[in-house]
Amino acid sequence: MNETPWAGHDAEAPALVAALRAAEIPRITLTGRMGIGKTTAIRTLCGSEFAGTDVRNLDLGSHLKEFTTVGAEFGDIALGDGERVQLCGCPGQERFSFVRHWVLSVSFGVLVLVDVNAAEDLDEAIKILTEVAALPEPPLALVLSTRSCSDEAREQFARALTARGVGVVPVLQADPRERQDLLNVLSVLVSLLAMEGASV
Amino acid sequence: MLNTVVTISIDLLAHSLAERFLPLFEVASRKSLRPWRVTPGVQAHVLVLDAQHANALGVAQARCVICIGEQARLPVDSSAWVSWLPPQFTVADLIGTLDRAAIFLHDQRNQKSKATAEVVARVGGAHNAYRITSWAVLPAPFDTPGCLRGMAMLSKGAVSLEQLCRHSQLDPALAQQLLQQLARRGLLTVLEAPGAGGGREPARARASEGLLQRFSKWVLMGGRA
Repeated sequence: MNETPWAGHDAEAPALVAALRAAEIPRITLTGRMGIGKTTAIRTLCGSEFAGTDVRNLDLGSHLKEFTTVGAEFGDIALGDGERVQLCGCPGQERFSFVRHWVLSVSFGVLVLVDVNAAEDLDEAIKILTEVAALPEPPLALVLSTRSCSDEAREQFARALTARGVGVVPVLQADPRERQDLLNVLSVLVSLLAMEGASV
Repeated sequence: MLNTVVTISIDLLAHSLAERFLPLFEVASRKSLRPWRVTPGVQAHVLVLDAQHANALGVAQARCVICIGEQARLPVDSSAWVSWLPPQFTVADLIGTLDRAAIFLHDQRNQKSKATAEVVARVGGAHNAYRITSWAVLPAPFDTPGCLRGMAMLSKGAVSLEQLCRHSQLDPALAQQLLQQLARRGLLTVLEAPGAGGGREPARARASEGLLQRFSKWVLMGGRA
């Protein structure tokens, strides 16, 4: 077996690794820094079909929220007849990047949640999109602007992504609390997947 | 054309340099070939900055930059216009720089208008494929989920009008208007579509067709199975 970026970390997250390896579940990853809305988005879409790993936030220097996610969290979208799509939120802290890498490698789509007005989120998005592009079978990537912003700021963020070498990436506006916003985002992802799999 | 106002931003200029720049600009702008106006933000036609702000957000996308003081490596592409002024620049230096910037912008605008008109005229051709060079946020009637799906497809590779309509569920007339709007914004590239049998191979499916159909239906039903 090849050496992997998460080699040596299996012992730190045995439940996660076992869960992901257990089945080939269609999966969409939500990623982005702490407090950007990943957990909210999964709860909005999945409701009670949600398994979180929130604990009291001890890193108040990074973010003031009371609770934060320390492992991957999962939500299920039930499509009927037992078929489902899993949403997987990756922890935002950099020390959990090995979890993110692992989950991305077993996903067909990735939503990168950002605040387009935060300069550090541009670097974070570029890092994740570069990591995604380097995977042997990269998932389709969309960027979600989850905070209020002007159209100009969103376009500027998108242009900066392109200028920094990650290609043309859709930067969609979505409030993680608004189910219809998230459904619109998923409809974009499904259309891209359908087009990609279709012959020309 | 030469009476169009050129906007200039000094948001990325250190306070001490801005204090020198503004009074000299007041004089130089009145002597320049074109009228000038100082505006906030990095969307101005011309960015004035110093070395400390060389890598600020927005600089990489700038088309016209005046750098004052120490020379710095700017992240702009090779087609951008860049001029340097010494820290003790004079009003004559500034007039010359503003005029050269104005001429560059005038030429660029003419070239862009011509290129845009050519692209708009090509939209709708039977053998064309389209892609976008940058993501855009468009106003109504192009701010719908269908148009977002269409633009997302255009961001991932060249697609024909027929493909665009089929996978985004856009009405053909609206899809064509969307392409024209993107062309007018200078964001659309028109390519020759591959002939019959020469199309690209479908990518390895990330998800099965059945799953995508059920997922698509779930989305259309408002998130209900």
